[in-house]
Amino acid sequence: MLRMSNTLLSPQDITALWLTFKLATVVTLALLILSTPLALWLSRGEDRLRAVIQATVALPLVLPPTVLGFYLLIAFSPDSVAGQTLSALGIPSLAFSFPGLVVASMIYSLPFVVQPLTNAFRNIGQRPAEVAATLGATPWTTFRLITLPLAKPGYITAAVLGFAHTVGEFGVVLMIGGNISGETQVASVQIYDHVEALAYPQAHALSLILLVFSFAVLSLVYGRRTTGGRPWLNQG
Amino acid sequence: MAEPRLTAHIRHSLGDFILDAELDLPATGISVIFGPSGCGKTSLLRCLAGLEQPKGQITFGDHVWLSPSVNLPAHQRPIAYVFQEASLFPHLNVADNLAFAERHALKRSASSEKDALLDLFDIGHTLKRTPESLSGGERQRVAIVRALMRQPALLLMDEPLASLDEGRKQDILPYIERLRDELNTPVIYVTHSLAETARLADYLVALEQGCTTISGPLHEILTDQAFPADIGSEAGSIIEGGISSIDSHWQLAHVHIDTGVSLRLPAQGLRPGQAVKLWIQARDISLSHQPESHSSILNTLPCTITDIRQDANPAMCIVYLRCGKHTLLTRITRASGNHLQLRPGLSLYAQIKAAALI
Repeated sequence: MLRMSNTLLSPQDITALWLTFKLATVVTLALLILSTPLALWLSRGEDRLRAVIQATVALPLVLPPTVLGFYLLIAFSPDSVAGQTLSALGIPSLAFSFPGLVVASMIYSLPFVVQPLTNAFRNIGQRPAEVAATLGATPWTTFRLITLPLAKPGYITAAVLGFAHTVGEFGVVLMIGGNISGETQVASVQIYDHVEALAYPQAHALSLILLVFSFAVLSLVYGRRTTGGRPWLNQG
Repeated sequence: MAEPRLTAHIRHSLGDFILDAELDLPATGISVIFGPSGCGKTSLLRCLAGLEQPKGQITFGDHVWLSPSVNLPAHQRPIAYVFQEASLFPHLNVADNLAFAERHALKRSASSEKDALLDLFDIGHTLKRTPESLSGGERQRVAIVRALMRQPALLLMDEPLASLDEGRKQDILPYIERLRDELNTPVIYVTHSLAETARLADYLVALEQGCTTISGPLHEILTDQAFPADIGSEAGSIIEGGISSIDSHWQLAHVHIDTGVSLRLPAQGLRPGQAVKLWIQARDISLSHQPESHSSILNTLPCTITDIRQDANPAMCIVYLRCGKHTLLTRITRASGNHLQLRPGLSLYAQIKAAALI
């Protein structure tokens, strides 16, 4: 149970905010790296396998977070196949731990990163990479010097949405992370606790921080979209 | 020493379309792959570049690019490719677009060579500009220079003029001719324009529905009756001749094309004794039983019908005419053919409305 303190944000609130920021940063960076090959592949055609994978990636958009959290909790349990494999490899159980939160958040925020990247790659099209290849550039050089800079607006959108969505996560965290201060207690859970304890001023303070943050982030995304990058096709 | 050649036998299916082409080209000068839209010529060029993954074999000189056991990826083939749209990298300015190609150049080039190339294509003033700010013609010229900066052993060009309007085409054609005459880089040039073919080709390959039909040196093919029949409104013939005299009063040049046969053309820029090639399109010739004198048409030639063929358009037919040693084509309506009672062997007069110097 929290007690009123002189400042609006208690040390525990600050710990929760810091943990939220750390979680979102780790998840966003990991997702940007892992989603790049997936988005590149998805952008290169339209067939049944790609449709199935795209639907799978989009699932967290529509599933109640509790459903996702429930399955993850089962997967993380030491009795499950996944859990047994992990313990055989000497990795501790993911349930109620920060690494577990990272894995769950990555699944939860996956579509928010994969979709902007897929769209960005699709807008760029195959042509720039083909031009680079016929000029003798290796696929890696092509990616580094051509595809990546052209997809920069997509990466910024993906990073911002992935980060913001992870900050806003609640249901999945509660299911698999619980409420351990400094380990799994993120800001959204902390707000819930404040409300449960009828500590409205504290709930206000944290909520306002998240509200301002989310608004600022979305302004950035939509602001970019109007001034945004130049689509490849415009140059005729 | 035998000249290096590009040989290829390619089978590639794209949906319903099957490309099954055989090529054996000299690796010098400009080889044109000619055919109507949708005949697979772009796919063929993409196969040569390594942008498509066909079955078959491709050999360039002593090097195998494609065989059952080898498939050299595009970036390892010593080529450069000019696409139909300039496709400059939009996030790089002109200088950086060129530098990207230079970074992967197959040979070092001296800076004097680079400057010469910028001069040749007249793009020196655009270096600091973004692709967006260039005109269509400038963009395509930059794209060609970018491809040349790679110092390719073979330059592939896919209808580089198709996205430009007529005026721009005329602006760029001379640059491509200079490429052939001054740079010594072998070029494979894909087009559906017979005018471009006539002007640029040393060697010609005709492609129809994914199959190569005719190939050989241009001057041999153009006299082949089988060649131009299928190209409808673009059909035409090339006639070589020499300027015999200039009529200074009317400013007309007399072009001698055969014993006792000459054409008159505006003399501007021509000198007596100069050899010229004329491009006469089938739609610019009409037929008459009489040598029409009450007409504004300057050139009327006696000729004999050798063949009449159905055009792709059911209202039209193509009439093959023999005029001295030359073959001329005219594309007229079947109704007029019937009205004039045209048949092979008939002698009549061809009225030439226009002849372009190429």
